[in-house]
Amino acid sequence: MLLPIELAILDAGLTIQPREGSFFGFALARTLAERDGSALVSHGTLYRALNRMDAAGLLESEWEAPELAEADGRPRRRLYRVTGAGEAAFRAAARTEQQRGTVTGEALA
Amino acid sequence: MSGRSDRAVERAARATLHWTLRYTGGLDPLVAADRQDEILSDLHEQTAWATEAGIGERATARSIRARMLRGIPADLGWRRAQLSGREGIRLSLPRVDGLLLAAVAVIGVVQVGVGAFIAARHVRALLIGDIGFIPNAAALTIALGSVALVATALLGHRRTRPWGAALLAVTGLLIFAQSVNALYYLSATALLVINGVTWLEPAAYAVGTGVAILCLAATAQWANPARRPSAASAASALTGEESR
Repeated sequence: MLLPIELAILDAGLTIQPREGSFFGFALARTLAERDGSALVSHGTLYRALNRMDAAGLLESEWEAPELAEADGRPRRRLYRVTGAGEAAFRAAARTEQQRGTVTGEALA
Repeated sequence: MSGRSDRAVERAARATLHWTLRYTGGLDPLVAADRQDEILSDLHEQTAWATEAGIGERATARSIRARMLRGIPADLGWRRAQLSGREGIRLSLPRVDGLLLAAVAVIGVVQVGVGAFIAARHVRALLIGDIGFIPNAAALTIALGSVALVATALLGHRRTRPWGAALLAVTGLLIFAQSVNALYYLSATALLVINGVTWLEPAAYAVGTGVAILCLAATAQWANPARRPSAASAASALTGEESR
């Protein structure tokens, strides 16, 4: 069973991924907040969900190269990608949710 | 931007990192370092984004602190999962929502009961001439109980539920301590207990604070459309995996 936060992460991730190649935690938080006009999701909720989804194989992650972050003068980002299993899980759950209007469905387009 | 407000962001970020160090303490060093680095990156990204978006330093600091505070239960749950080696049994969100509603409804009923009890005792005391006036603490307790009655009724509809829980947070914070003070005028036993047990009023406020925190958590849960059970009950989907 996907929790709403997991469904929302997959939805946002699958929207960002084709454009950026991958996504990181705060980019997700910002996208989720912009979508539903809510406050930025808490650190604990976001990173616990990402951690759980990574362990479950719905996402894969890797730390970006330190030199890239150094060149930009910022800390390294942990970059996530939605896996095939994650996309399949999202599509199955989103069809149900879209009928209820609880996901944007952008990623399904 | 003033130097003082600059420091507000820095202080909020430091508080968040300090909390991260606390809840990652004693975990596998690699897991702990990953979480610490990820939070550090998040804080940097949020600050950079807020600056670019023209968001004030104070608003950014408030947002960072709010994100940290709202995430504490999840952080502790994550820590527990890391220590036990599994995420644990996950309750379905509709069930969690039902339990939360039941808990807040019980809180509402208890508050109404406290207000009604104080009202009944004071009316009786007035009728038999034990007291000649309604003390402020009793009047406030009765008023809070009445508000709690309205708030409990608001829990009945999904749309008004967050308002009901928010009202119960306010009444819950005050009603227990006020009811202790109200009893002072009525009961010789209560008088002795209140005078003898110095921690009674702080304890009543502590109970009230706990009740208020639970009700505020329920308000946040019900006010956020993304967490409503209609979204949660989605379900059917972890392809090839059993429900986690």
